[in-house]
Amino acid sequence: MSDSAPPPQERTSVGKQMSQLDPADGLKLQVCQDCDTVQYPPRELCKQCLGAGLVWTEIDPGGTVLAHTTLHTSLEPYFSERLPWTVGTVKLDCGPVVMTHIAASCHGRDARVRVMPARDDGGTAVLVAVPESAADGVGEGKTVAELLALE
Amino acid sequence: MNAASRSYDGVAVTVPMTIPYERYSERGAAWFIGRALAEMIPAAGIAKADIDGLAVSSFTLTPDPVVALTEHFAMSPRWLEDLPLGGASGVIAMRRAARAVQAGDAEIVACIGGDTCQPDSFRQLVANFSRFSKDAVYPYGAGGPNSVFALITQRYMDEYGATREDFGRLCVAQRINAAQFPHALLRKPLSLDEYLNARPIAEPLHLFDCVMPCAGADSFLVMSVDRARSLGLPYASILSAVELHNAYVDDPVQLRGGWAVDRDQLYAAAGLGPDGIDCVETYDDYPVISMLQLEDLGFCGKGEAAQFVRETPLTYDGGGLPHNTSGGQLSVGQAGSAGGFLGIVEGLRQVTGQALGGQVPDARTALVSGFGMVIYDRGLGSAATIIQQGK
Repeated sequence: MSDSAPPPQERTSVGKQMSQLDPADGLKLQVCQDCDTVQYPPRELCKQCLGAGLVWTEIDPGGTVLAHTTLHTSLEPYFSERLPWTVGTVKLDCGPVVMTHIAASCHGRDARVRVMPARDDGGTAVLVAVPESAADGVGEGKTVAELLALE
Repeated sequence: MNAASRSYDGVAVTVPMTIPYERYSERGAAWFIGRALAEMIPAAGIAKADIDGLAVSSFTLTPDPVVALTEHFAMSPRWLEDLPLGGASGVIAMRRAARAVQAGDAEIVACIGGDTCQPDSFRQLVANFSRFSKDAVYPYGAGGPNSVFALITQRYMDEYGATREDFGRLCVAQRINAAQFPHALLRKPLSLDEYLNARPIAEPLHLFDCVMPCAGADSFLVMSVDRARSLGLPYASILSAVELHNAYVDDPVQLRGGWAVDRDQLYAAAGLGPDGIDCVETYDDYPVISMLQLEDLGFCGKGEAAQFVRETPLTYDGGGLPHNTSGGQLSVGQAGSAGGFLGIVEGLRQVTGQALGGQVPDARTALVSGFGMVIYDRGLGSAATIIQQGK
């Protein structure tokens, strides 16, 4: 396995804000200060009330797996060298649907998960879905690989 | 607001044109768009200066905006549309052009979808497709659209019991249609076994569920019926047309599209129902999306498309529901935005008796639907039209 290329590091200016947070603080997403709507993907205005007051706030990381897919091809060398690679969508209890890396132990439809932030091999924050029942993994700032191994 | 709004009386859609697809090309998008214009002008028997409206859809024209084409081609149109709407762009271009002709803002509008394709251009397009994609999709495996549609397909299978064989039936039927169509890049017969045994791409999607990116252009002209008749051109009339963007915003997974919202008004304005349609051209970036359209446009109930394709021949001459009669993008290839024009161009050929491949017997009406632009986890645009042979 080569460590030559990191996973995609490019983000928009608002997307970069997620990497300025400490993963050890748990899952933080933008929450509207006017109407409490939780937002994802990151954006500049509230999707509901179009208010400008979005603040990164710790939220309930619980959710349900909608679907997962195991990739056998990728447009990026980092993943091509690590195939097959599995990602999924999770409906968070607090509202948004997030696309995440997903631990093998929670690939099933409707599996209950927690969505955790972690730093990828390039240092940028990404989301990882881990089993809701996993004993640890919260508030410890684990790596993506460590989270993906949780059962 | 009535989705189908006012009638399109007096408008003719004519001169379907395809600039042959190529897997890769060193040429720019403007070459394919310009060649479409060049081929349509003599086919219509008009001069370049007679085209006073231009509606173009292209991903790879960048950094040039559509207006740059007027300088490339020394044209002075009074009406110009840039339609960055991907797979919904063909039907929507026709709809907008028809209104311009009705209003007198333009007399002859050229509607063109065209793109080039180079070895790394697809990756560059995907990596920078949208802000949401850059922040929240591409970093997760960089699977491109395959990832998103694999997730939709998996959920659809879980929800409605569709199997890979069901998607395979649709793909195999389209390949049979493609065998007759000279511009299809994939014309070799495809068996259900070959479909099922293909290599996985993004499970449950395998090789033949995925379109082949390529270069090419598809186009047509919109003008008044009087003008089409005086030029002696076979044409189609627009019985109805609808578009809707970001329908069902609260659905966690896209298992239906805007067609379901607009369907009743689409048929009511046309004065016929699904049983009055002679051929259907759906947007087939992935087979599951064609299934959603067959359901949402009323050819079967919700979740019943798998059963429908088990029971209904989909080939151009099978006596069932002729579907994607040129082979669709799954066999012809996806020339970027031209993929959004493939269906309307093929439907136009069918109802005017000008099929380049298999001609549906006695085809007088076609339903063409479009679907486009995945910004995050679903396609946002939906469009549909019913066209009929001009009298």
